[in-house]
Amino acid sequence: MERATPLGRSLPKRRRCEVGVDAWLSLPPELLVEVFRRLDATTDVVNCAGTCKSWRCAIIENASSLQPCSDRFNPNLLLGFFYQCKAGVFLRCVPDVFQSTLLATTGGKENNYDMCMPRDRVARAGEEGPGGGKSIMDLALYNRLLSSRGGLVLLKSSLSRDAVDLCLCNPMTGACMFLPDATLEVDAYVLVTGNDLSPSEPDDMAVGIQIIAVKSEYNDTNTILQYQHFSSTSSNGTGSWGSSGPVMRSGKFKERLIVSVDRDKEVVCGGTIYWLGYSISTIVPAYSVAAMNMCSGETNTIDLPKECSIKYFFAWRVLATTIDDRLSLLGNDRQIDKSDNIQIWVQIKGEQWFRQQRIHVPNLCFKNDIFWPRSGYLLVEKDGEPPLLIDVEMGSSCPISCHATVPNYGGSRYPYKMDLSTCQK
Amino acid sequence: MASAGSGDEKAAAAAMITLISSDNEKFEVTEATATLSQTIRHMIEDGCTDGGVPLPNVTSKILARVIEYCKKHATAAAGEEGSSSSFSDAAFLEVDRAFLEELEEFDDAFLEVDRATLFDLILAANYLDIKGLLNLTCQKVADSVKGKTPEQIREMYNIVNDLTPEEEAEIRRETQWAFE
Repeated sequence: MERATPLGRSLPKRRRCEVGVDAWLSLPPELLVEVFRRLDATTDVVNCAGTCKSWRCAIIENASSLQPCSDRFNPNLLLGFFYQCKAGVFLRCVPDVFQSTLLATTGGKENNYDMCMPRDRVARAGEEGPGGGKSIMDLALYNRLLSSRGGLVLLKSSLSRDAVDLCLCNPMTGACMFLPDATLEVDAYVLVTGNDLSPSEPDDMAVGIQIIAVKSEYNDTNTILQYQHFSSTSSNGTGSWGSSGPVMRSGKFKERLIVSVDRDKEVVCGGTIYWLGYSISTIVPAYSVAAMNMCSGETNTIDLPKECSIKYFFAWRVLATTIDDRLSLLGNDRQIDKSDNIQIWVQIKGEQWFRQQRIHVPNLCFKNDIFWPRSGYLLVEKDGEPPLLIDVEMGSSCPISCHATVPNYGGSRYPYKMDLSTCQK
Repeated sequence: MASAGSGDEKAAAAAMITLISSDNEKFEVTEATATLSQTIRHMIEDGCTDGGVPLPNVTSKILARVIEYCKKHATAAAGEEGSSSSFSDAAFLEVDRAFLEELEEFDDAFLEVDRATLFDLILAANYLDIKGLLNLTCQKVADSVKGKTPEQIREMYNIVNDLTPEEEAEIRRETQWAFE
């Protein structure tokens, strides 16, 4: 009877939570998770998390396999924001149902709501064996935030003496996977998880991770994107970078289009990565969307409607996705038309766009920081105020209760929510 | 699945497995029934079922229910295989649908148990690795909490609320959040 338990394979190793004596019946967490996995609505999962400690622990520790809906952001499951600062990468928690447990299990000591990545987590995980044989000191070197998606965060070591420069960390479980840097000189890393790859099979537990390293180069007339894939379906970090090479260009890739593949500005939907670019073939530069298919590597340009394509200096544009996984564009032209509206266009097909609605957000400014454009939601941060969460579908907005402004030191920031992420461990 | 070809019928009938519950009760089942459990199937493949299969985690009461489930589902599986040769396609489909309906009714009736039994069944299904049964029982629990508030869930399952007032306050804030 030495066989592995049938469920052990796909579920992350759990850390024991403090559970009262009256722990609910005898179901172990992995079986509770089997039950919770069969709930369709996230509100049901949240309600279950609110019943007692053991349920809550089971949900929090297995969050990665519990978000039933693919890319639909649920504000109730927002846990916090990853951000970069001089001292390293931190997670700022949003006060919510899950926060106390998250902090309790991490021993987040910096203050009551920031925790350093990945040190706290892994220091504990190290006791159990994983952590790739890294000491806590070594782990502290992974202090640059590259990307985050699906509940995972991709970090880079500040020293490149190591053969394993990158660390893919799951803050929930403390699992770390170490992998080499791309051989390409990279501008940005795009982390892509199971749901992005096979949106039609949310039930498939054997989802993989892909990291796409992208380099963008402009050579007088064209932008050339180069990319390299790292894919892994296993949990122990085996996997490798594919060969690098110029991305195939389709005939529609526009000349004189400048695409900067800034980190945290990309949008992933429908198996494609999108960046906002602008064309300098006209007198007034015009915004355009550069698309790269993740499977074929084929690139494409998508033109925007005239009303939103002119690139004014004081206007902002940002790509986003709708909840039904379509590309959308949001923008504000306050400096031109004095309006406080965010305008939303949704891509219908090819270059057909539909102006969906306007959202009124008082005192918008081009300096406002906009991040996390995905899943029908958008975060806008105004000076000294908590981030404003904008529901693109409903046209409503609501401030997020956050302990303080999420620091922005010029680095990227990513939100962190319970998500159907890859099965780490 | 044990071969259901007519030539092997004797062999299949002869291959009986003895399952021994935690309270030492013995259950004789056909191999076809027993191999619905992946755990037992592996043991049979490893040839370590002589003298019975001890199942120290399953009581006789629960094991009897599990066997009832496996028998029904094993018959259904065997019935499908057997019928395909003797019926025309249309008739086969008819039979197939009837089987499925019957099976569904069986499953519904099978789940008419008290909560403690239901959880024991989940544990047993997991331990014995019977996918269908695990799915059935977990789905039943999941369905029962759908649309319920934490208090209602606690009441239904006799759960003691061990959350701290702070944690509760957080949850209350949560539910006030006006997102639909």
